[in-house]
Formats: sequence, structure tokens, C-alpha cells
Amino acid sequence: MKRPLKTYNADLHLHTVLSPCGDGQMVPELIFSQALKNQVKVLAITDHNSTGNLPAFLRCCPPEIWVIPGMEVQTKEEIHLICLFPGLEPAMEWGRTVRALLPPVRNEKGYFGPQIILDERGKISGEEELLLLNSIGLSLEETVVQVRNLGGIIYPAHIDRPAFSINSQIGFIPATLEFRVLEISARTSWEQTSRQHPGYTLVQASDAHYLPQIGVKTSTLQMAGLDWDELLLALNRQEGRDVILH
Amino acid sequence: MTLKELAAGIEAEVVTGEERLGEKITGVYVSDLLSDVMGHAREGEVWLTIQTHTNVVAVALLLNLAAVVFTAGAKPDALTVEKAKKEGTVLLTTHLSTFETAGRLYLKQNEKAT
Repeated sequence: MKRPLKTYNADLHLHTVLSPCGDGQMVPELIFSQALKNQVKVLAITDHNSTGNLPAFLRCCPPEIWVIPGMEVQTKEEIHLICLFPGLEPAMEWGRTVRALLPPVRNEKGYFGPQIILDERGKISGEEELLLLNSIGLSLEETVVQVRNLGGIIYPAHIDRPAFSINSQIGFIPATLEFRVLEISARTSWEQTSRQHPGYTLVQASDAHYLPQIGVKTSTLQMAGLDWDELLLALNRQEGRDVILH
Repeated sequence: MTLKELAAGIEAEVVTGEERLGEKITGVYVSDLLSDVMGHAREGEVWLTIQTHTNVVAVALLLNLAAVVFTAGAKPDALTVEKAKKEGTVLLTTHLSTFETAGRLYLKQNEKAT
């Protein structure tokens, strides 16, 4: 029997205390309570170039919320992309790959902000010493191939932004990379973007660095349940599954 | 070459850091990729770029650069100026292209050396 389709409010781009620009309140307990308050059912945790806080968020997650393990990666060209993974293991493997490809530049907290790593209970366990606001040693194409080889989905982040977006850095979206999804920032209108980029599924997310931003801009996922296969169908807009923007 | 001489040579306007124009520069680095600058520019150099967002100031501070010059008429974002004022970073703007700016500075530096 066919499962009925439902709609789920999703925020697929947010930062934790691990991102140097992420606020000190971006810890599991507070992020989840803010998400519940704003009726967000799906959250993707996407710190800059790191998966270090994913274990904390997956273990501390309340049953009402689905946390998708992710990362906002920065390629050689200084393009930001959202990577999402079907589980913690492939995400952590990608995290290890990325860390080994970060330049040996240490974070200066005074300029960029602290990079706090949480343990599985969500308590502070240490800091990432390498600067995460940097480019890994892979090109756009190499990054896309590696994430897909790990079973992940990857798509350009905030394509409307004047910095760190695929449009600002190379000026177009290469068809050879076969992206199906594009993310737009909370500040733009999806109507305009969909005219400029027909044929793509658009996702709009908060890119929250502070608690009050969580769930302010979301995408509605139309799916038959909260799982990875359903998410893939929704992002590909297949079998009635869809991503609806507001 | 001092920052004051540099500014005069490239028809630059001073946005922030007027008080530091007597300082000497050690060289010039040209790039629009922040990660490239973090990897290759050295302390005391002046950085030519068209990037104008706030992370430019953070990179300049991290490397202790002498100044950032926004070329080709690029104007720093308001937040960038605010942060530079707070941190004492020297920001200059010039209407000259990056090519013209770098070319003039290259000649100026070599003329001093000989």
C-alpha cells in the first residue's frame, strides 16, 4: 500500500559552536528547543569544513526531530557547498578526508571566533585548532566526485550571495557536474531564482549562526516519511515528493 | 616604501588607518582568493584585491599585513570598514585596475632598490 504524503518543515543549513562564526549558544539543547518552538522537523547540521559536532547532535536529538549529518565545504575556488550524508559514518569519513586537506593555518579566535568541539553529551570537549574558514585542497569537481562516492548529496550553497557562492566565484553552474539542487539564502526570493535557474530543485535555508535565525527560512519537504530515500526523492522531485518554498 | 608613498603612487584614498601611513611595507601580494592569501602572503605586505567582505580584515590581521588595497574601484562593505576601524587595519581604495596598481608598485619598488 502506498504511504500517504506529508509535509515536513526543514532547515537544511545551520552552524554550531564549531564554526568560528557560530554563536556560543549553538549547542544541541538550545538548537533543538528553538527548532521545536519554530515547528522545524528536519535539521541539517552543516559546519564549515568539519563534521566534529555531528556525534553530539545525532546522540542528543529528540525523537520529534530528524537530524541529517552534513557539512558546508569550501573548495579551492572558495565555493561553499552543502554536503548531506545518509548516516554518521560516511559523514565522519568525509570529515576526516576534509581535515587532512585543510591548509596548516591555525585559527586565531580573536579574529575568526572559537571553534568548539562537543562530546556526545553535548558538553565542551575541546577546540579545533586548524582554521575551518579556509579552502580544502580539492577543486569543485574533485569535491563533488568524492562526496558522491561516499553516498552523499552535494549542492551549491547560497548561490545568490556575493561571496563564497558558485555564482560569485566562477559565475555559472557547470552542467557537467549534474547538480539537481541549488540552495538560496534567506535574503532572496525563490521566484526570481527559479526563473534564472529553471530545472533545478531550490532549497531555502536559514544558514543560522545564531539561535533566533533557526527556522526563520525553511523549505517544506513533501515526503511519505522521514528517511534518506524519501529525502532523495524530494530533492529530485520524483514520485510526488517535492520541496516547496514560501 | 611607506604606506603614504604607496597611496600617492596609486592614487589611493585612505578609508581607515590614516595614523599608520608612516609605516614601511615589505612587499605586495595580489590575489582574490582568501585561502591563497593565507597560504602565501607574508607579514608586512600590502594585499591588492577586489574582495570586499569582512573576512578580508580577519585575514589581514591573521598575517599582520601592512594594508589592504581595494582595486578597480571596489569599495569595502560597511561591516568591513567598521571592523577595520576597530582593529586598526589600514584600508585603501583605488580606481586603478589591479594590473595598473601592481605595475606601478612593481616599478616603484624596483626603482628604490637600484
